[in-house]
Amino acid sequence: MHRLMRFLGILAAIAVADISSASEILAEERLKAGFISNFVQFTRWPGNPSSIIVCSLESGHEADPLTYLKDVAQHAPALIVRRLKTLGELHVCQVLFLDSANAAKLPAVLAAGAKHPLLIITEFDGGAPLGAALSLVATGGGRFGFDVNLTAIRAVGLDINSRLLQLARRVY
Amino acid sequence: MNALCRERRWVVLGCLALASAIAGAPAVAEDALRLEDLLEMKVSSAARRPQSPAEAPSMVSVISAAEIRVFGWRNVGEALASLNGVHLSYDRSYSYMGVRGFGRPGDFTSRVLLMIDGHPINDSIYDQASVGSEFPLDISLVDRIEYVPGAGSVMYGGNAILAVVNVVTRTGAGTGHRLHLNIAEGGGVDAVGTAGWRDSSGNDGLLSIARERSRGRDLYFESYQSGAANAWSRGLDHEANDRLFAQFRRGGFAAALILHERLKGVPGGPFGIDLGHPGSQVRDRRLQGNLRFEHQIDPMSSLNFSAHVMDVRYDGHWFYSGTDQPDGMEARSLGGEVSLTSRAWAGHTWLAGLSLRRDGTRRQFSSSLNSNTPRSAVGLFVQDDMALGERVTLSAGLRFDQVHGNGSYRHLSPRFALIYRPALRTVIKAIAGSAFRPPNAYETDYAFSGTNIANPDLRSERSRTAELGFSHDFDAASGMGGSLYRTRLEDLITIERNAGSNLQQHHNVGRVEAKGLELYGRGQLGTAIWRSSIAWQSVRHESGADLANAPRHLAKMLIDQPLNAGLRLGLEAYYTGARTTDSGQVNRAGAKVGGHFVVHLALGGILSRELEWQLKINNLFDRNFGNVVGTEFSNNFPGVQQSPMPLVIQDGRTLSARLRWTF
Repeated sequence: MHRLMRFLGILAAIAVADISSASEILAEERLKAGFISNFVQFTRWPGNPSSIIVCSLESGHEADPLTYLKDVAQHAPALIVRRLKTLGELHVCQVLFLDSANAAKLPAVLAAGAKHPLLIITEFDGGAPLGAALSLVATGGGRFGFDVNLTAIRAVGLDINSRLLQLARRVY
Repeated sequence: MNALCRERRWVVLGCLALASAIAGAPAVAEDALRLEDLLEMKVSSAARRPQSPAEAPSMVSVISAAEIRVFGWRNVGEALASLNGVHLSYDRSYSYMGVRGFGRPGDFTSRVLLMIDGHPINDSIYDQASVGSEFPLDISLVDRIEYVPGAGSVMYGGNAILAVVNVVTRTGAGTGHRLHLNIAEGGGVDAVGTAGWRDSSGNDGLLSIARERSRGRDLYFESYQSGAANAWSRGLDHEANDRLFAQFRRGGFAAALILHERLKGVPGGPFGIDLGHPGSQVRDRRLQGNLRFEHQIDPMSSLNFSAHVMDVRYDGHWFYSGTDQPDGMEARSLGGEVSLTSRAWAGHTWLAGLSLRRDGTRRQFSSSLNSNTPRSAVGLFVQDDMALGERVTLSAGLRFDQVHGNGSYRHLSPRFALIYRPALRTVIKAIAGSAFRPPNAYETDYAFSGTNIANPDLRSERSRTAELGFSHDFDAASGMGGSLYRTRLEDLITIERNAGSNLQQHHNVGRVEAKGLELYGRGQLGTAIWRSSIAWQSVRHESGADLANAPRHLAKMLIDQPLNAGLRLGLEAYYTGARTTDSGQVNRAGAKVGGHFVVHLALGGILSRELEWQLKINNLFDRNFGNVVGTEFSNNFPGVQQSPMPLVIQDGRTLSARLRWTF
């Protein structure tokens, strides 16, 4: 047993001595940022704005994919990140990323964003069937797929590239 | 590099991995990311490193947590049963996994290597792969299940003859706080509480406690029916599971603690025990600690350490004419591995490693047995994935194993896989590999006065598998594929009755050949997603006799249909074809049993942001069917059993309900 404890102790010491940086841990948030960036690239807004305001609701969560948006998006249109305190500010946004902590606000978001060309992306599975434009779906191994609600997208005057439809898990 | 990276999808993936590996660089490349690459699923158990299933030297399948949720699977075995070529058997004590028709009654799925996060969990007495409710983790902790069919000894040594199954757990951040409550017909209640978190400095933790109780049903066994005889096992199908799982991850470091205790009543009178004695039960306990550490040496190379310590115990109480005959085992193991992965040479990804394992205690005991045969194993392995032009990769691996215990065994296990991608979405693989399994302590040491004798002279089982597989994706939602395979297994170990003495003993019984064809398809129909598979399989002894419990056909259809108002329907339909019962002699085919068709239905919905519900009906049409079991259910002990019992009945229609509260 002593040999076992010593062996485990040595292994733990090696491990703790060389722990990777937190930035590696946050790969999942970067991956989500990659999706958001792609969704924007493949969406067309009326009037083709030169910059797109991507909003999220304040949640108090440490990890936030929008923080990494600038790392993964380098092409036009420029992306501007804004965090909203109330839904009353929603009219300034072209994109709303609704994180899991704010999932209960989806009906209110849908009501506030109705008729406004707003691309609502939910971080959680089940957003698209309820009326969000796109929802991320965890498929295991820290990977994601996504669902699309084409009816909801067209109802607010947006259009998306067919490549998104080809790659989606589901289209509503 | 960007131009090169755009050339081919798998080169892109390699470049992405390369970019990720650069010290301090974000895990996702800074370049604008292709959506296809973001969607790509990675598997890690085929070649001990993350790679896309298309690149892996096996026809890999992956089950995601999303599927587990939609179909309401209660354990890893139910999830695995949805895969092509897999069939599950349950004898009401344990569940057993059949792979490509190979599901020997009487052993303990000893030819499948089962892992949690890359750490083996097969014990060192029975080599048991515990896939059913005896699996140590609650299903809600599973992020994905990787199934790697074919010879896996090249990477993992013994046991990995038919397949490797790796159950990957969730992270704390991906889990949050959850409470699950499940109730089921038959007095089943289980509750799971899980807390997961990750702080801003990257510490990720998960703690889960699960408690499961089931009264079970009273079961009637026709084999015991005789006049006024009582052919019921009443109150014996009870089950209790207590589980604790704690995990900590930070960067490349991961540590986990697994505690599991399971108590199961034993109905049906196996081994000639009293059919209805309430004291007959099996108790299994596991304490396991796992450690892993990945160290990036430079942008091209990484070093991986892993270690596990395992304490597995089993206590059985078997009542004969009202008298308890206890038996049990204790298995304690310590294992560790170190491996180096490098892409330092252009066009090559190579891996070399050393594996050590010490089974310090392998004790079996009963009123007439007290054996302990410690065992040590050393393995050296190397693999190189070579790019032969733009469309072809050759994966070549070799492993040497030396096992010392109550016998000495040395094996070389090579594997070659030629992977050809004629088009972006099409993959063709030709795979050939060898595998082995040294006899376990149960097979060499088990003895019982008057019924069983030990056999220390057993040889290892050795297998050679050749496989030709293909897959083609039409788009992200649909695709098809298949596999043609043949496995030749030499010196199959099985329990038989010795002529003359009539005592049971494990023997090497010659060659077995398993061959078959598997086809699958997946797609979208309206808003429904479906996957379907069909397998033709044959497992035959050299004498020409079909092996028991080898269904000739397996056909499966799974449909995931979202409905209005956020409802979600999961439908599973399984056909298990004709198979034969266990005659007790491998060269004599048992009686033929017809096929059966079973449908399960799950309907789930969302009550609020935090609360989800699901109703599940197993065996929707209440079909009456049985699973083929070993001859322990056919021992014709005088005055007890009236006729052999080659099948054990399975549950009819069973309703269960689940609530999931996330906060």
